[in-house]
Amino acid sequence: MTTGRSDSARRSVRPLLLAGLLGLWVAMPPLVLAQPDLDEQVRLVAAQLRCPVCQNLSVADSPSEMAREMRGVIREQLQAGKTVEEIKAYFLSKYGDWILLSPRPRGLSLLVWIGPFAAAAAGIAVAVLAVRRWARRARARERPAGDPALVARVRQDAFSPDAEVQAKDPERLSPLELERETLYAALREFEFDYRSGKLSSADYEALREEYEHRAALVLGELERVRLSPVPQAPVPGSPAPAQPAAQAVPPRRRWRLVTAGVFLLAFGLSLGYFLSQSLRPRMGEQDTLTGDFLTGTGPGGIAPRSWSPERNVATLLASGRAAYERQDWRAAIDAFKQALALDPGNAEAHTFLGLILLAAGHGDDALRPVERALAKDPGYPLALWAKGVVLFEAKEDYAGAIAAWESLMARNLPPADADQVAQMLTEARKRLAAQAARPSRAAMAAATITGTVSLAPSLRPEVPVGAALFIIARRGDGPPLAVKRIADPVLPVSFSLGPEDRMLRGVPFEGEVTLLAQLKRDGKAGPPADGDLEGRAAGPVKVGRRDVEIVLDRAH
Amino acid sequence: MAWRRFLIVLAVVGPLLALLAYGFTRNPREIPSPLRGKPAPPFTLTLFDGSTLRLEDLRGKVVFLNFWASWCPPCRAEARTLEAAWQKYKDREVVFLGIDIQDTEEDARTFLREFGITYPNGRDPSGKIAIDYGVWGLPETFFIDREGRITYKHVGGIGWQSITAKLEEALRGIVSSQEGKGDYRQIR
Repeated sequence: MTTGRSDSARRSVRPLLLAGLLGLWVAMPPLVLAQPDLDEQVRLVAAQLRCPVCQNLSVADSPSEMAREMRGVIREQLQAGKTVEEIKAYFLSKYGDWILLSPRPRGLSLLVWIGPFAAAAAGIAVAVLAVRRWARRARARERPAGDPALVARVRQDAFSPDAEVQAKDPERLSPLELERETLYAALREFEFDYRSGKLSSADYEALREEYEHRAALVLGELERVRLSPVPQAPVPGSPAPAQPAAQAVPPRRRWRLVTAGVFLLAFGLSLGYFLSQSLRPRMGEQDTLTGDFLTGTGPGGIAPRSWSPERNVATLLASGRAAYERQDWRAAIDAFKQALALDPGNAEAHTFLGLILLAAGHGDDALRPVERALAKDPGYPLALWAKGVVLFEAKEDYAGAIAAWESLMARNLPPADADQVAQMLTEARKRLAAQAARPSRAAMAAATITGTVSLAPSLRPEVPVGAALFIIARRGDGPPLAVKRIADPVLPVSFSLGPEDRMLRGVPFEGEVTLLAQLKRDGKAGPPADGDLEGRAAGPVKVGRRDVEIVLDRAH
Repeated sequence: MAWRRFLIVLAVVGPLLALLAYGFTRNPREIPSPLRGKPAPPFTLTLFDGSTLRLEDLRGKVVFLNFWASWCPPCRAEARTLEAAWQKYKDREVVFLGIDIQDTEEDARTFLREFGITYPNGRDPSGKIAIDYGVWGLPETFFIDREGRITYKHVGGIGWQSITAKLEEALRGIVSSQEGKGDYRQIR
């Protein structure tokens, strides 16, 4: 029992000693004893530098071309008589702190140096405190409520002069009395150690409390023996800890254990999952691993971060552009609409939607999204460019196109783009001049066909919303020369078909054509489907006629 | 008691999480250069036409110094823009200079022919100039003012607007407060 004190003292000292040794071992710099040969010296310097290519290897270990070149520089500088520190300073001045494998202890890097030791010390302190608290609680639980009167007697007896006399004559004492004297002796020893400073006051308090308690129990037992007529078997030396109680884990603690277990399991699973997700084979070297998106280094440098809306818009725009390039209009529209859902004012997405509409043949509607982009950012070059293209291609508004492109040219454009815009400007000016020189309105009228489309009395279908009437002019059986689309027509409807409806610019709209009218329920150009109506003008029609009658008389 | 313990746990875990989050926002491959605002390291370059060029001899002119390699896609992407910028600036006390690194001479010559590059270019076969400039990604461009001071560094492909803006700044001796970044390839 007397060894209890030194045991517990050793227990609290040992981890601290261990931590100290560990710290010493970690912090100890590698000893440089003798001057090694040049190769060894190069390796020594290179081992302290981080390779810019592979970052997780030192310049000494990296097989990369850059590391080889760096070792060459180190060798040269060593041969020139520079010291290791001077060479390190050289690399530091070129690449900054990044190049050092063990960062200099200053600034944020200081955290790297102090952090682990501080954390270890804090951890040990917390663990020691926790263990002591648990031990005290366990003792308190084991202890039946102590009799304060008996404890007071223990205090009195242990330090009374006769107590020491009694202890000198152990043969005459019963085992219980012997136990009591041993405890008293221990209490006196604690008192002495505490006064002489060998024991901290906290340790002293804890030990004193425990031994006083034990002694009080022994005293209580002695009282009982003295009072009862029946002699009792001697009680075992130390108060028996409640063994069965220790085995039956209280329900609350069991729940804690289960919770901790579940938490650990979840932690392990998520760690395993995310770790495997954040690794990928290094490009070019399939047998080595490197960090992936979770560490911020995806295959193309920084990976897109899906949780950041800006990134998401950027990726959507990129995929939209790619789809636009390969003329996959549907995918492009999807991507740009999604981008707009995230960022309703995104000028690039608006502009591209306009360009897509133009490319898909809806030139009339293409201007609106482009104008929206310009409303957001009046100087946005792509939108200025697109506005010019839409006006030029779809509206034949060359003056407007010229205005848009001129304001584009006023910006600082890359030369390749500037060249292209200049070319388009020249072309637009040419066309504007041609337009101005073009024959008058009367002559324009001479180049159009007008008339009405009506429904045969035998057919009375309703015209669904979204339906469209197409009036198609062909030369003979050739491809459509000019097409007019009338959305949601109310029959009979009048129409005019002129040069502005031509499918191919440059092919004149003149001479004789055949006219076909199609009422398409789905409103889309293409071969007729069920329920669509069709009708033809009688015979070839000369461009310039004004009273063409087309009757829709055929149902599909 | 419970809320006190919660506060303590928060005080310990919060900063750790914040540190972790900060770490995730950074790209460990990026090496910020300590050279901006410092004198440009001197070098002597053997050009592809056989002549040699010393950087010190260009003092008094603004130098557009571009590190490249024929195998690096962003270098190809920016090559025409660089030549166009050279055509625009060559009469304005600006010198464009290309340094080919980690490349074979044959590939480099093919690259120069392919993009019709007319400004002086040379090879750095040992990589010493590149290391002197702390090069880690390709292409890398340094803007050096008339006093031989690095005013701006751009890692990755550089666009027309950056070139013109930063050349104007270098002509006036303005040092940029930040590095530029574009699409880049790691050196080998």
